[in-house]
Amino acid sequence: MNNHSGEQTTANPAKPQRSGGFTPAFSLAGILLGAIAFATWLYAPPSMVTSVLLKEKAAVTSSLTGLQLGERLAEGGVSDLYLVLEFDGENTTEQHRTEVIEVAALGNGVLFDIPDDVIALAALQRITVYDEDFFSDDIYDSIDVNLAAPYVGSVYQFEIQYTRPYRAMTIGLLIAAIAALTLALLFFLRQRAR
Amino acid sequence: MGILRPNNANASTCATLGLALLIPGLIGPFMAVETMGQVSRYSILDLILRLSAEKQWTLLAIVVLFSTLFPIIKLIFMIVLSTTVVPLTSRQCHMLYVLTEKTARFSMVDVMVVALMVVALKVDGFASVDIGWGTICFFTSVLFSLLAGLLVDVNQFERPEHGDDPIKG
Repeated sequence: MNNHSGEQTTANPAKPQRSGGFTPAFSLAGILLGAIAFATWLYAPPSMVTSVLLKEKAAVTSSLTGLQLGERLAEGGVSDLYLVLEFDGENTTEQHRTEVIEVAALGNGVLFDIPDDVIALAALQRITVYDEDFFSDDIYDSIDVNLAAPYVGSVYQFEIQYTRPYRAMTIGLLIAAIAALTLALLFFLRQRAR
Repeated sequence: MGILRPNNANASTCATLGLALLIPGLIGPFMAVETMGQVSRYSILDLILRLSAEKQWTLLAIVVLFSTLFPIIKLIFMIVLSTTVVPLTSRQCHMLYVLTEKTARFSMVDVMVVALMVVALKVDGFASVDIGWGTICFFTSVLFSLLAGLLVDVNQFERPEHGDDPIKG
């Protein structure tokens, strides 16, 4: 059967095969690195909460509203702040209370340290800010951590800091895997160039 | 310049690198907007999801088509054209090349990058805009895409003229 004009494929069999040996090697390396990255991510210990940074809410009116201003005026501008973190325990919701920090001005934030073996990030439910008082402690603000970040309350903004076990290693392995697979694809396509 | 001489192996390399960089360019942070101490980072994917959530269908279609689909299609077509991975006839190659040229005209990635650069440099004061690593990936992808377009050897799949036609010849 005759070929019609222009219907022949454009592959050039006379062209030398280039860089053929690299493709399987890079593919294998990429798959192996990807598998290691996946296993590292899968078996990494859970992220634990290490501290909570309490900052002023980023809005013009936040520092002039409600209870906070009233309390500051009454107590000479000083608050004894502490946080209560609610998290899922084995059977019930548990609480962890931080140390009390005397705060006159928040500045660029006040850091409340939390032991890094107490609260898993995934278990954290709610953070409440209290002002310690002689008679009864006042609630200044409260946020639900199940909602998406940024955690902005009615008065304060919260930044949760937590451990990221094996994160750098997983990212490094993943980047190396993607790079190796890209190189494998690149050599494969160069070999098949018209 | 020898390096810019049409060569399908180099064209396929550039197109592959362009495609490899386009993916982090689409999902990586494109820009960081700081408004009154609040920093928000956006990627093109975030933008698409936000437009979808807010039901801005016209804008969504424009962004998806011109900034995502056309660049990806152009790079895939470049790979198909410069390699024999997909067995195509000369006629099909020629048609694909014409189609690639046409879609490349509608591909707004380079325009978008330039516009973002202008925004990043001009906006100041109340809000400030910084470019993220996603923008760098995107910009490099655009460069590789342009380079791939330059390096495609059209002679390898030109429509057969009188002498090349196996019937007439």
